[in-house]
Amino acid sequence: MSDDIAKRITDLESRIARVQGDARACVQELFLDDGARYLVAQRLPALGSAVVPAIHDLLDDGDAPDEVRTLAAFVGFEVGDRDRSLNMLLDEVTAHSEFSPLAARRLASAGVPEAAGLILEALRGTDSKEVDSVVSYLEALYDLGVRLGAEDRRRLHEGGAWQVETALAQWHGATPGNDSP
Amino acid sequence: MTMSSTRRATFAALVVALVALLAGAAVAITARVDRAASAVTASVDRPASVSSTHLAGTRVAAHDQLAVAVVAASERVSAGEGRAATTEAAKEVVGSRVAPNTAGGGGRVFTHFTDEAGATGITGTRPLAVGQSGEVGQLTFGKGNNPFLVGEGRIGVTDLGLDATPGQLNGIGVFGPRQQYGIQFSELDAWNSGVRVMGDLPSRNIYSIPGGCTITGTCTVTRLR
Repeated sequence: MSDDIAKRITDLESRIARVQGDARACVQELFLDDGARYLVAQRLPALGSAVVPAIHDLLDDGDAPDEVRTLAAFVGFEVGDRDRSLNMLLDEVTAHSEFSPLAARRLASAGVPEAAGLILEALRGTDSKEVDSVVSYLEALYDLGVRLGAEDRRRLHEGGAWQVETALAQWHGATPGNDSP
Repeated sequence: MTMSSTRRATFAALVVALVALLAGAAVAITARVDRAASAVTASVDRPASVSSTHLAGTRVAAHDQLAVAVVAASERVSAGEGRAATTEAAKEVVGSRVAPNTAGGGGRVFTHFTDEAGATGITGTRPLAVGQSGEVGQLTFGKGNNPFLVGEGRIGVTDLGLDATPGQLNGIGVFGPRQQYGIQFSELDAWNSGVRVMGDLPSRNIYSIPGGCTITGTCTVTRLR
């Protein structure tokens, strides 16, 4: 009986090692620079926490392109890494990259309160005519329970974009809340 | 001299009669075209649910009828008789190529690419032939199955038009049969419906809307492939 258990466990460990190897190989797909990195990243969370070791190795890889490391952080955060992946996404919010608004929304939807100040900083550094970015930041702040102060609202109103006006009215109107300083 | 005058008078009378005949025919043809257009307009304005063969809220059947009526009439109406606009309308409906963006409303136009099951489910239309397009007053989206980056249950949309190439669509994750249909709506109609179009990666034409949302307005569905 004990021999049977030993064999089962040994077999299981072998299978787990194979799965981890497969997961690592899947994460390596992020390195292929064929325009599909985002699509690859979208699918990796299906592997669950099995990808975390490979994600950490990638985040530690100083030679990896910024885009690869950022997408790896998104994957890691999605599968529950609230340490290194989280920290990298927080940095991404204020990096003024194409991923900044998305990082803000993901952190906000996950209820990460320490993101609020960074998102507000990112919003203040964004031209009010950059409608997509501004609306993303406004929604993220709303999700985190932050209401814009009068000065921030005035600046955004001056941009005149109807999307921003609508988002301000819906998410950052006169309703009492935790106004931004 | 007298004979010549008589012949000229007869000839003139014949010309007048011929002109009158042609004018009458033209009027008759115009009237037939107008009757066809009126019949189709009535069909469009009537709630589609009146007909058991057409699902509520769609104008696809009306577009088909208009196309058939106008093409048939245009075969009998020579060019340059002021019907060009009507025959152009037919081309828009039955042509094999469609305009890059067809939705009405305001702001940017966004497209959700999907397969036949998705298109019929979202728009309530019956399946279309390749190149066929129809207008719908409402889009009803289910929950998306993209779990990551665009957010749980969200629906991927793009600011790429109906003229996006298969390669461009592959680049935003729209593969194979999901390149068949393009469903378009305007940004303003979406916002007026309480649906915020969020730019997930605008630099790569990747946007999203909440899963399970409904957009009301001047929307279109087009079979592309």
